[in-house]
Amino acid sequence: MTDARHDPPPAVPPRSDAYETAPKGARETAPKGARDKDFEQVWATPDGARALSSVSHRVVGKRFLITGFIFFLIAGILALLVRLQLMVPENTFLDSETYNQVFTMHGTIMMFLFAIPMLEGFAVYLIPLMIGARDLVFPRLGAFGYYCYLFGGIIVLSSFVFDAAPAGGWFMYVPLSTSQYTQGLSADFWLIGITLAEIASVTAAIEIIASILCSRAPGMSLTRMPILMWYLLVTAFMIAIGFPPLIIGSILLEAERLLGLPFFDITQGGDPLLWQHLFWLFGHPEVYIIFLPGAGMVATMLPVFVGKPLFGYGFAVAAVVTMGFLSFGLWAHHMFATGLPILSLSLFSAASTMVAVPTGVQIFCFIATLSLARPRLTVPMYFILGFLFIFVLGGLTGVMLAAVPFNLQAHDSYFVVAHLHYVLIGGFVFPMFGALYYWVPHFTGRMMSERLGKWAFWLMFSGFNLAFFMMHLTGLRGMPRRIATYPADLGWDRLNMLSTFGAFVLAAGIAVFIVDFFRHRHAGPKAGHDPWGAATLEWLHTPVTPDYNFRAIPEIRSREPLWDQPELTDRPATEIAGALRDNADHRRETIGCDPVTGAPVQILRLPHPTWFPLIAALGLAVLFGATLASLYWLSGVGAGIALAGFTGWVWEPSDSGAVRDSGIRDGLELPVNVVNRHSHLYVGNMAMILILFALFASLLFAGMYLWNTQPLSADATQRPARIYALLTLGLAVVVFTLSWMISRSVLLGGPLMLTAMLNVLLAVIVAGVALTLTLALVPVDPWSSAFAAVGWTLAAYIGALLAVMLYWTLFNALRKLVGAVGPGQGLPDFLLGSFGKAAAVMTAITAAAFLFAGTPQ
Amino acid sequence: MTALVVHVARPITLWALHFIAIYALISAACAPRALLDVQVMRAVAGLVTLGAGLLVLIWLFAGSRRLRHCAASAPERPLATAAVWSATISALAILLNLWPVAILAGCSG
Repeated sequence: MTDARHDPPPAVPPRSDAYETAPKGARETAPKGARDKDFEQVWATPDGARALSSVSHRVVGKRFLITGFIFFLIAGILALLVRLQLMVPENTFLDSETYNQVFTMHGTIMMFLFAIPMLEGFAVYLIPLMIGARDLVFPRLGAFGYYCYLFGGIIVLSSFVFDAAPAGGWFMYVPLSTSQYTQGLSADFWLIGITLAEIASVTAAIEIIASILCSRAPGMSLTRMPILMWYLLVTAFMIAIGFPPLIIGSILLEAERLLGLPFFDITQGGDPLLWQHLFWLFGHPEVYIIFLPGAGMVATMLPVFVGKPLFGYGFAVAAVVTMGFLSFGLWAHHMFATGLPILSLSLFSAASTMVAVPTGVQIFCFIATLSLARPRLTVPMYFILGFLFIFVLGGLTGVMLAAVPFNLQAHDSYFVVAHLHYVLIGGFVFPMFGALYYWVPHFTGRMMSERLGKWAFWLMFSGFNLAFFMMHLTGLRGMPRRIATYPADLGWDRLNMLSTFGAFVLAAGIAVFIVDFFRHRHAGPKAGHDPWGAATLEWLHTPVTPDYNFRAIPEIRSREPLWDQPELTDRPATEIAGALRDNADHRRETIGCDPVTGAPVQILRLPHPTWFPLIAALGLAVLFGATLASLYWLSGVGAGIALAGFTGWVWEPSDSGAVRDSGIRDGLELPVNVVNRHSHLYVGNMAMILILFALFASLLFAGMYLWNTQPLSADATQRPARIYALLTLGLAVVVFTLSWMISRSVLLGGPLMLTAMLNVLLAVIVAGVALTLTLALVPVDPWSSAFAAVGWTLAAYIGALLAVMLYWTLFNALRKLVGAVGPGQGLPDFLLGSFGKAAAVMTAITAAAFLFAGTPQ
Repeated sequence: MTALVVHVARPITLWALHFIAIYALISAACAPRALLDVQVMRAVAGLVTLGAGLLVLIWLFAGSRRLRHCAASAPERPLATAAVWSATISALAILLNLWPVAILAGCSG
């Protein structure tokens, strides 16, 4: 698309009066080690062991990709063990317990430690390059997320070493996974390790949302964003809302196992189906969370090989956005056989059918794009065609499974196994391999082999279809999933033999890819400039792109800038005109934009390499690991290390208040790190609040679910003290008001002493809220019923929010006291204000719920 | 352009609210606590759907008009197209939410 129209002249960046009082140049010195460095050195990745302190998106993204791929190989080997066991009837290759461990770990690793981290890796690596930024807006958060993922993955995998690998299936259904039926630590390894790894997902969601919305190149409006950014943006919002139910479910289950709280114990008013609801509230959107980035990569690569822009950009945007929402209305179709009311089943059946509509719209966009010109049949293109074939078949069987009568017949059979692999391997693995062939030259500067790539594709494609198409038939012939072996002569023998053969052919294809990858590092031809003829900004430099991504950040006037803007391709990339060519402050900087129009509104200062993310993640790993080992003193040490890491992380000079020449549009001056709603930190903070509300809503759902489905037990539960609940409600209103006042004080440039006093007052009130909330629950014994336990958990969650707030308020007050904050540098207080208002609302809702529960009914 | 982003998001947000309402109504009528009579639930679901359906149809109509008046090369056109398609998909989805309540006699079919 060529669009010659420029953006309207950028609005004067919204400024608070605080800028008038901010000393220009205050706090603008570079970190100690960077003051004598030139531009390239400022952005250089540290050498040797110090590379672990790197926060660059390129380094972190590649780490995600490599680690994720290693987990993919481990899970793949486990899958081959499963297939070897099922190759012939009555096989004794694996005993039942080992078989259960193997298929559980296969599913767990594939879903949590491979698929999500791989998409995070692509997102972390590609987003800044494609939107014209020099890094993500929260580089330390990305590094922290990676280390949490790595340590979480190690915890999960180490269960094999301790002969305690989880064996209850990747969905850990209760009551099987409660301590009554799963003794030992196997389920704890799963719950604790996966929860730690999930931190990476939610931090990635915040990172992706804020980066895409706040750091695009000048002029890159939402409609000029590469289509992949829409897919990743929607995916990030889905992660923000979809992962919290699982996090809450995991915490409840671990609390039941560790503390004996009866959330899922039917004899004490609990309900095993509550786990299924929480799990699938995450689990079904998870499928789309995995699929959408894969489809986004297809939508990015396909136009390159067709040589035309994507057909129906607007259609695709609508389809992606609606899919993001609709995917949350399907969770109970995994529970059709659990005895839910037929009316509920039909509602979920209708929604499950409905999601085929936006999916179809996307597929038609791809097919229409293919029809625009004769595509070049490169290796990535082969994988795109493989994606279309396999995913459409998986989608069709999905529509079959959305029908309740068919679902009841096929439930827990190999038909479902076939369906989910067609969707996930078709929807993510094939696009992922295509994407690897496409972007590997960007990573390494060399091309992979077309000949070996086609071998890899055909082996994978034929092996996959042989392995999994047969499973439709074994399923329809009645073979249940998760059985360790089966008797002969049921009509399953030959089909299983073929499936196993196909699985090994598929594995051979992946092996060819690995050989090709290592071969190309030394023997692959060097990648030329824009080797595929792509239109997007990541190919601006001849691979490998320098660490800084863009020497100057170009103005964008088209969705296909490398096709439509000759000034970007007619000279060396380092000489292209754009913003921030000067680097007088020796700082890592990029342009911050208006989330919708893409107009430049600020200069973002980005952090230099630091150890704090690693320290904080290490502390959390110690905390989680020690809890697993019941070494609670060590858990405390871990919490202390994590807190020290976070404190060091945020204790840094503020850059707000300075104003700089951006180098574009006739000397456009932009503020550094604005203190208003355009701030990337504000957007990130709002994304975090969204996640916090999703966690809170999951707990509320648990309480309401038990109240509705277990009325006798809920009604027999002791009542909270209404007077203290009322007091909590009143104090929550005060917390909200004070938080609002802090925000206003910052925006209006109020004196530092005033905000410091408000900080201290807020801290006192917050402590009071925590006290009254606890007193409200004193009459309630959390072990007496599931409903009571959920009430206490709700209070504990609010308590955690209040603790964060207390720490934050005192931290901000202390920084003012020691002179670490200057006038106009109120961003931490501005963010605290938003957080405080959100925490106050959740506290008020909880207090109202306790008031209601405390009223005799 | 900000308004168009809202226009893309609001129909499907309305679907989400409608879905939650229908699910809550079914849960209120069909769970052991039995807060609502099934006929009351059906009537409320019908009213909720009528309101949501009318709103989304108005948005669809307004979006279509906006799209017709949007030049083919206008930068906001992709979002105008997306708004119409989002409203179309949402209208269909809202109708499908009501479908089971409308055709099934009670909680057990």
